[in-house]
Amino acid sequence: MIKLIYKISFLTLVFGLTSCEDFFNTTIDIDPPVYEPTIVIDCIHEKSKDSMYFRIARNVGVFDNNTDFREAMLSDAEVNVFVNGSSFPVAPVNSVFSHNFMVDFGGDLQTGDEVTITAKHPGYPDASVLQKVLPSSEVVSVTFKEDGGLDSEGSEVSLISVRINDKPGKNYYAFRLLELGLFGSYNERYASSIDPSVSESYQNNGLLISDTGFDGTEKILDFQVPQMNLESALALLKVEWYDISEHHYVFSRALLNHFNSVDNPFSTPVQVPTNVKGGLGSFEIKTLQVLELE
Amino acid sequence: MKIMLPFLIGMLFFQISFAQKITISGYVEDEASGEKLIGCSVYHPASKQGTVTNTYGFYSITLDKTEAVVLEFSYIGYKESSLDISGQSSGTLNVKMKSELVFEEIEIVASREKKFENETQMSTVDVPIAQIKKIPALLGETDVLKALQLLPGVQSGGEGQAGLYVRGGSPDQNLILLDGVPVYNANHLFGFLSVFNADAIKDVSLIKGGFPARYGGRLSSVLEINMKDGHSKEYHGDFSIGVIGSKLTLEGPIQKGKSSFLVSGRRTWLDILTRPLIRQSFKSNGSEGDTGYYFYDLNAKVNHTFSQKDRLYLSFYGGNDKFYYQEKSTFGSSRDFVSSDLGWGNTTGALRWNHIIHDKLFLNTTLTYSRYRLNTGVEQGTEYENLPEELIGVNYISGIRDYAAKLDFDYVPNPNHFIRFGANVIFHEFNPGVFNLERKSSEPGASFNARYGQQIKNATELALYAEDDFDVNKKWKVNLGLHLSGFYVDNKFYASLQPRISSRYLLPKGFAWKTSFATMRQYINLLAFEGLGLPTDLWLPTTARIKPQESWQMATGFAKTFGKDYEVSIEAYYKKMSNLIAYKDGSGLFELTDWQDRVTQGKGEAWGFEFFVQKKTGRLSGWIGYTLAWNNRQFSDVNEGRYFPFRYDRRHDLSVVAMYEISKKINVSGTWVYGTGNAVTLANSRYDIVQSGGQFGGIINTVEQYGSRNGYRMNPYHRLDVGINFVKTRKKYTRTWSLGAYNTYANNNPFFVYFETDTDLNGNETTKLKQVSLFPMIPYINYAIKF
Repeated sequence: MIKLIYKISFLTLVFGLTSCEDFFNTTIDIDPPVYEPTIVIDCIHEKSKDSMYFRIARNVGVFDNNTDFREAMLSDAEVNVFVNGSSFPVAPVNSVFSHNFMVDFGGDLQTGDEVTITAKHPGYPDASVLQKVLPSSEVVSVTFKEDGGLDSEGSEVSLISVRINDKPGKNYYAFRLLELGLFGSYNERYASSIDPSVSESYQNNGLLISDTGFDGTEKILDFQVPQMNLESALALLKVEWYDISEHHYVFSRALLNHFNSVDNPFSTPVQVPTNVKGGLGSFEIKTLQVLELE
Repeated sequence: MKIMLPFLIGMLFFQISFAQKITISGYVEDEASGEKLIGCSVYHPASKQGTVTNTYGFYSITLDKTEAVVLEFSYIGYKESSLDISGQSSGTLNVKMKSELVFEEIEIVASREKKFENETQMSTVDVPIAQIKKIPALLGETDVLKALQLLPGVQSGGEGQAGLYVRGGSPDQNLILLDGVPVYNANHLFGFLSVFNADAIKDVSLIKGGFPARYGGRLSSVLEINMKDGHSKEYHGDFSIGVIGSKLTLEGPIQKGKSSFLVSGRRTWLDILTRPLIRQSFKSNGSEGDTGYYFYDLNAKVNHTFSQKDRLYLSFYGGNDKFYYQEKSTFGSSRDFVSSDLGWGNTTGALRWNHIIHDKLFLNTTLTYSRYRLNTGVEQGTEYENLPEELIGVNYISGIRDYAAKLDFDYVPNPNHFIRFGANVIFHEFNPGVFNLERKSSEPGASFNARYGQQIKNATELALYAEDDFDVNKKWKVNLGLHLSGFYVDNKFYASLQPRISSRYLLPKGFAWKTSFATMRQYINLLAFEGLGLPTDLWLPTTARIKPQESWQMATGFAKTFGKDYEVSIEAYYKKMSNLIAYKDGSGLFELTDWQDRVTQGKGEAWGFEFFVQKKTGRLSGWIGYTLAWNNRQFSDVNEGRYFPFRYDRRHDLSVVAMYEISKKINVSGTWVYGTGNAVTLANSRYDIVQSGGQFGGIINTVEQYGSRNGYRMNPYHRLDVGINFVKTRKKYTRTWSLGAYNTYANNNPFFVYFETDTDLNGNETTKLKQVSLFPMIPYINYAIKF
């Protein structure tokens, strides 16, 4: 019987190997897909900052190679920024940076202010985006617990609990944990949560929170962080707590899912949403509170 | 109950009005094995009336006493049998049919009444299991589902996949019944093989539309697979060994003529064959370990005839797939270990009691159990000589478990009516995914056992049905039925009344015009990642938030038998679906958030034309099937709310299947398939975004902007498979060598496409669209003995 099995395996192997050269991966010739040239407005601003930096760029065809982010910038675009309808002067920014425009508000934006960016460029449809400055949420306390059990991978963790009073209506938040580094600067530190209200986002946008499950009530959100002792935590850690728009919540989640799906041929493609009318990209004004641990 | 009342009254009426007639009833079975024959035609030439045997081989026919002379029994692959019933009063007539050998060249002159165009049921295909076994298959492993993919209106998901996409539906919309029990995951080996072992199967029937009222709970198709009962007279067996595994089937009488059994098992053996090499490989790295994959399944059935009126069947299916990895490394007196596995499988069981209440009324009572379970886990830790082990383990389990009971009555008051009615109840237990986290430690208080995830959800599904297949006049026959279903979940009760109608009208020159309309409702949903038949598919219920899926389908067409046995049909259909369920963009499986937050519901529509010509008997048999179809979806938050082509929208789908018996010792077979390429979504442009504010910006990320959903077509798919069987009959056994090849001309069929950017030495980039193909020409060889 064993002989028979080996005989069958051998024959299969021989037949199989003779038939697979240069088979599995081939190049398909297709015409470049048609796309609409579009202005991209890209800006994430914090309410407390005087100056707002942003980027006006264009999209490029999927086969348009050798176009880096600088070449795609539309630095000669006609750009305007308005706060509650009043125009603010827009200045160009040195193109070595990832932004090509800035505006100085001369002070903090106020809750409820409406900020609009418009961009025009020949050959592209006009693009504009409006964002409203959000109020600060009420954070009651932020506590640290050294022994927070195990995370889903079995590692020992500490726990940071944020108690908030959520206002009625749709509210969205973001949580970032920062740790004091060697040279006095703060670096982002990993945190996670098993609370279903909390979800991950892409890169620097922190953990995202939706109040769908606790609308208008007091809520304690637990965040797991790699274990550290209480003394160090109080000395080194701080929490950035953001009030964010619904668009930014959806955009940040979609961005994570988009990058997760791009290299997976079996996943459903994730189209990243935009709040730019007539264009692409995203404009967000976050309201930040820096919280010390108790 | 109100719905059933007219039928009960009707039964009484028929009893009275036909008191002057005689009723002949009984079972029809294979003479040699005692296997009951399903769908055998029973015809009374004098009155030009007839009936067919039901799923259990039972028939009943009521005739005028003066008319009764001869009853004819005919069944594909069997010699026609005519029995003189002159002077016979009402009673039992069990019939044994003799199998017809291809080379005997017996002339079968099928009467008009026995042809498929006389049935009201349309959009239904029966493929003889003997034909399925001859079709060349991937790796030589005969596969029922893959054979069905060669039928018009039925598509595969992708290269090598066993999933069925019927008339624009998705695989979860197929009610797959194995001896009446739903099978939730019909895949082995990530969908490259199905769980159905052809050696244990007696009969396969697929209904694509015009669903009779007795079926419910799924939108797109009903696939009924019945296991063999087991030879009731002699002991027999089959053994085969092929490229990936081997099979053994044993059957025979327990008590001759009264009870029989069948046991059939198969297992892949590549893991066993490669084990010494793998262990040696671990050893050469200074550790002990093992890794591999296998699947096995077991079908078993016993039946017992208590009396002419009572028969009992007990059937079982169990199957599992498993990937495993284990490694241990010794360091001094301690050993670190890690193990992980991924396993999935189905278990089904059915206890059926057939009882003939009287010669016109047949009752089948069934108790069923079905379970699908996915289990994946990882454990790592350290074993010490004198201390308890340290261990951290995570385990994920999801699945579904059903307990069901049903009553099915077949009532045949006269040859003009075939009435079916019944009820069933299913208790579902859904496990949408639970993580178990375990930590063992010698450190006090550090051991831990926690459970996270979705709550197990229970639901109850109920159904009542009644249908009558009746002759309106000599030309017009109608199947009229009503299916009432209910679903209780989360303190909410959903109810639905689903009318069903099928009609056949005989036209001149032997043509039949058939039409049907059916509404369907589905209370359970499969959340699946498109593309592969992954075992990570999740079965989930309708809830207070997630509405049940619904559909209605209309079909019309013509049927005719040309010559002796060329069955030709052409059909057009339109199907509208609502509350279809899908993952929201980019949602993942292993998430702790409520699954209801991760899904979206939308609409779908499918329409098309199907052409089918089939020849079931003779030296040359097979079929040609062609489908021209459109299949679209709409979700409010996908593709800007516009309709888009379903991934498996396939405009043209052609299959040619042929089997030819060269001699008693040699038969050859071949299939050629052609299909329009699957629809996929490709990016058409890209742009950069920066993910943090501030003067200096942050990291630049490139986002791809997609064109319309599924707006790009992959290359067409086509493939030729060939096979040849060498059969030699010895005194005590028959042996068969099977040789063949899948994708004989090694066509580069697309499995998926992706963009690839190459950078040359000067830093210049070139982006290309690449296609990945999965199977070149795959030869197979198989050895089987039948004893």
